[in-house]
Amino acid sequence: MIARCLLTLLLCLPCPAGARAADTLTVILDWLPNPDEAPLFIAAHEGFFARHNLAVRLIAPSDASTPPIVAAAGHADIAITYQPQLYLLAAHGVPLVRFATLINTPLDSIIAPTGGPIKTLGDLKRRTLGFAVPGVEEVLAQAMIASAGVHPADVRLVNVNFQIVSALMTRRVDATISAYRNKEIYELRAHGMDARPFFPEEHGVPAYDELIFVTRRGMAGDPRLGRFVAALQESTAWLLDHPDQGFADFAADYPAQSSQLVHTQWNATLCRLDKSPGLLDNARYRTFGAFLAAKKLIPAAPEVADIAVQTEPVSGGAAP
Amino acid sequence: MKRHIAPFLRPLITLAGLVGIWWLLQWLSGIPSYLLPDPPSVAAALWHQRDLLAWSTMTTLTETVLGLLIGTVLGSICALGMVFSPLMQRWLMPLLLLSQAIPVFALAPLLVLWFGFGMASKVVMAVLIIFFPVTAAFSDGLRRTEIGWLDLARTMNASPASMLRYVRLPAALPAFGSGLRVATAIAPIGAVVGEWVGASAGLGYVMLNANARIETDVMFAALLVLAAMAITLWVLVDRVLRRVLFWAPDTSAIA
Repeated sequence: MIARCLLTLLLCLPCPAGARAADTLTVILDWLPNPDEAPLFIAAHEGFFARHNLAVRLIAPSDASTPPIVAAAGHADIAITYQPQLYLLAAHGVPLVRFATLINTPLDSIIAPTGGPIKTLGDLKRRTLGFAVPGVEEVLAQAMIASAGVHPADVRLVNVNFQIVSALMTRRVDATISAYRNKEIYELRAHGMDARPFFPEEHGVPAYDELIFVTRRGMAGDPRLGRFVAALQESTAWLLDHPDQGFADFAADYPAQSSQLVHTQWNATLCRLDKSPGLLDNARYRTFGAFLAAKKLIPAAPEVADIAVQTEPVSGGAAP
Repeated sequence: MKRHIAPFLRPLITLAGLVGIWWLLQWLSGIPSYLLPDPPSVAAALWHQRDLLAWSTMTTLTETVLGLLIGTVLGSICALGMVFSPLMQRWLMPLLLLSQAIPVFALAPLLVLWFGFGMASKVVMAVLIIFFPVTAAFSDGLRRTEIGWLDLARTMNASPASMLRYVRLPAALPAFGSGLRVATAIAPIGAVVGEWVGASAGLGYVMLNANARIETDVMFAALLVLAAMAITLWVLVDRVLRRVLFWAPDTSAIA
């Protein structure tokens, strides 16, 4: 984990700047560069940012919960975080708003090795469930467990941090949440272990956006964000048409990610990308807020307008 | 009278000063509470979460003390072995250095997988961290027995065993004490690192969770409790060592 922290702290990834003094934007990723952020890497590599006269700097975080705080503190313009986390942030008075979506389905899931003791969520009773990101994920897990008629107190929760796959491989836990359906499950298979996924949205949790872009409240109307969304949208559309060329671009920029496994994960991720990143699904944000409030994770569901805005893509900037 | 109060008053004044500076900085700079909580909210968190914090402290304290005990015993055995067997010294020293060259933080995720997410992995981590200072200090002490004393023992026809028992060991105790003091100060680091990479209890676990939930007040409360625990443990060990090693001259007062 620390190796990862140190690495990520040092890992600043400058992108090719636009032709003329392009406007700069700094984005803190939610994790190390991985297929979830595909549209960003492609927008940089294929010049979609430059076309909209943007120079975007991508920075990997030291851990998954800090990016929004870093953005709120003004050290970055944009952070990638999770829709559930947005409510926690708002409840603590962190002045951030969602202005675009990267991945508009849940990715999180509980996975359990096939052949292990967990055949249904009900089997988790008196078993050990690992989790990687504390806070909302514990609550998601508890809601899922409760939907199977098991009292959450009857399941032992263990923070396995970044060792999701190895904790399952070594049978230190019977199942884990925080396993992404486009990632960990393939990683397990690559290690010869098949696993059964349980999806939150099928077990008592309303559907949500796994990855969203947030910015400081005061920056929500900034014209650069409209151009950012335009570049993102074009990049996503291009990616869906050129998935393999896209992976080749990614692997060229991040050689550590050039494996067959990552390619499989890449392909499993593309269908999850939001094709209209600037659009806001009001009902989804209202429903999830009500869910968290009902679960007593936040004192009250916030007004959607206070935590999320819609951003129209604005073409622009660069001279031909 | 004055002499009795001063040792308690001084740290309190220092503490009050630090809290004052912290509060002032927070107030003057207007840093939002999700970045830096103010002292009253941390005090409130200390009170409201007292059960959780007490329970977590017990976990971390147990891990630390167990690590300290096992590490000290292993370190002492290792030091004795190295002093009396050059062969052992040649084989063990590189291993010892290696154990220090590898950052525990890098090893922690593996240790957690080997020894489980329970207490064992944290104890191992604490042992790894304190093993070196104990071994190094003790073996140095054993090696640096005054020649005159050894000569005297030899003239008195002492066997190697009684030379160890009556001369070398007592002479090495002050050095051993220094090693143990360092070990006590750093042992909680091992336990907390272990909790950081994977656990279901302990102060490190509380801090990690509070941080992710943006409960900076709870995070600071746990940090304060951890500091208080580490300092108390150190003071206790220091007191015991002073009492046991009463004959070792403390020249700091004769300055």
